[in-house]
Amino acid sequence: MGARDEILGKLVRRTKGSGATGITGHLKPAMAMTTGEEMVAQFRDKAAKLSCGLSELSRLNEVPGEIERVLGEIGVEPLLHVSNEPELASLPWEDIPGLRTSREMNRDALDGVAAVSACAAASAETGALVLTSDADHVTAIAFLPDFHFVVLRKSQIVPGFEGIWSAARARGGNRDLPRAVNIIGGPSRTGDIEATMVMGAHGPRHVHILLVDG
Amino acid sequence: MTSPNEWHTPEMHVTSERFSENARHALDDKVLQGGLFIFAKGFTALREIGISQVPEFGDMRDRARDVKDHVLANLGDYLEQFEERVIANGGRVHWARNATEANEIIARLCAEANAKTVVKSKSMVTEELELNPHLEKQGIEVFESDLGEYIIQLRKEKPFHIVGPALHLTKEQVSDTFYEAHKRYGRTEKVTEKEALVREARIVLRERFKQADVGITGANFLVAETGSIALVTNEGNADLSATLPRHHIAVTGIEKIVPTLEDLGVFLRLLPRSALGLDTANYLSLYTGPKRDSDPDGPETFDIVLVDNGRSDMLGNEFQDMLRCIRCGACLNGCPVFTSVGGQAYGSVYSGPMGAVWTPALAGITHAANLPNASTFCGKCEEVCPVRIPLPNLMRHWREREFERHYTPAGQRWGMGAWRWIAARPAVYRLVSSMGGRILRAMAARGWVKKLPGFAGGWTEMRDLKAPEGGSFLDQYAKGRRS
Ligand code: SF4
Repeated sequence: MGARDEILGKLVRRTKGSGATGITGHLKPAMAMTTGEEMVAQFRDKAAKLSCGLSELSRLNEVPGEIERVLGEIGVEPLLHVSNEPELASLPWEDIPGLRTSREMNRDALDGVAAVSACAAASAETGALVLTSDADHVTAIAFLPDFHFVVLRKSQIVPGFEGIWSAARARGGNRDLPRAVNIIGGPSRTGDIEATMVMGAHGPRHVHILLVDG
Repeated sequence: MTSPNEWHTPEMHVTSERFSENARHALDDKVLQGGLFIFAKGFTALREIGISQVPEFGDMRDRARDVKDHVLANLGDYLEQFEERVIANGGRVHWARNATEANEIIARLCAEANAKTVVKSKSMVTEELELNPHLEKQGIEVFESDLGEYIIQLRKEKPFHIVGPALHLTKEQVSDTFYEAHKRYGRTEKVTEKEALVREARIVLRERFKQADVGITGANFLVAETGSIALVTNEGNADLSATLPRHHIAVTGIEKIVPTLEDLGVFLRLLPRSALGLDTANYLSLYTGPKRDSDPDGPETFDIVLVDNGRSDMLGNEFQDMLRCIRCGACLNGCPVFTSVGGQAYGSVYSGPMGAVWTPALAGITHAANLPNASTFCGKCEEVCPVRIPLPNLMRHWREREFERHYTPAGQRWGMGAWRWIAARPAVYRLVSSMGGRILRAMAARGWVKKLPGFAGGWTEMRDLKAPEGGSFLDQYAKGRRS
């Protein structure tokens, strides 16, 4: 008998008669059940606690100009890698004279640069952003660049994990999930040397959210 | 603990026989004592602040306990469901009865991939298997990428704590280690500041991520309904390991399963808060199958190695509760023994209260009989455990088994063993002697004293001992911190 059948056989023998057990207790805390403006306000607050930058914009078209402004503020070369997601492709990137853009998404191109992507959702429970892989979304965009800008529409904010799962399933065709579902809680960090928090361990040093009305 | 018709071949190498000797050295090690202070005071305080903001925390712990109990009662069914979903999504599932089988499977997958380099993210199970030396013997270069794991890999040490593997080291020690190890990459400057050390590791490891043929990760959870693995990290290294190399192998224990995404949410709410008092970890990721045809990136193959290695032997008996463990480390941080002697004294990749129960199950009680004795019965571990594992009781079960095996009167085995162990250690001794009366009363109330007469004798005698030299618990921490 192979390992699989032997292990499964043993598990069945050992759990025989243990029967179903009741499940009690709470699934989610109140902080995962906010709605409306309260939910958006909590998201802002939690995202700031995770050390994310945040710009609030009323229209999607303002995104390129705002990114150029933020890059200038932190003193980074105004070269931006733009993800191929449709909501970004149609933005007026060329209208910002100071900003150069690239559509290169391979690993060497993304290494250590500034990049912008869309997202699938964001969670008011923790302030985290949800990114899912698909034909237009390169998973590595959330990990290889030093500066990651994420465009988020207010309507994409969900109360908590339960909303994240629905959004992720919707992206995966409603039964299975996309290959990658990345729930990102701010810039990469480590406390592994003398328990001191240092930003920019393996992933981006800065995560900046562009929160757009609608 | 095995009925005659069942195989029982867990394998894990430990040096837990030397616990007492290791512990004595640890108490004298000032640097180490400084590191331990962080866990005992810092992490404990972070956790308390974090959970104080979630009034429902206790209810969520009940939920997590019940979900895990339900899974364990139906473990075979959920594993089959998981396997079915992994295959439906284009992945493969491999089953390993013990460490040898697991290592052989992983080595074969690496050979199929023609792998020369492997990049790994933190995985306690692969530590348990001693996977790295096995792969290295096949001529494969293995790079740990979690910063703490990378440091101890370079120093050829075992993890100090399941969450903070290198927190017993100073930045000067890390600096020396990097200076020596990174010469081969042409890095000749010696960096000493923490930020610079992190940057240096990032630069060196970034190239390894890009070059590696295979990425090996663990899995914090397996989701049966979707066939996904869930990874919880702060650095982003697990995601790079699961995304850049052409092949992704996830190695994990059979007990890590949860039925649905909804259930997963409960554990994602408990784990970062219990470990570090955080609302969330930086990166919570789900990976389901290999790269889809239309995906622009991701691995071509997705293999999951499900490891038993002694876990099924804990099922259906008094140790089953231990299989609920989500490796948060909270019980280590709260434990007066762990925070006096540190993880390395345990001689096992699993230390502290969870290690004292887990290690004998995986390595055999003969090799780890000391560990269930390394307890003061203060009950702190059970108090903080997010899945409500009755750790002190489980340690007691091991002791009982040990008596049965030796047919020795209780008082002469672990009652006296514990007494000797503690009397030799000033810090633990002080702590325990201040709690002795309370514990004895609690034990009497639960009938333990009567059941194990030797224990009462040992502790009563201990209370009459002259306090050993060496300063109080906090003195030791303070000294350690200054140096
Ligand atoms: S036994 Fe409980 S507290 Fe300890 S690591 Fe496991 S889950 Fe965490």
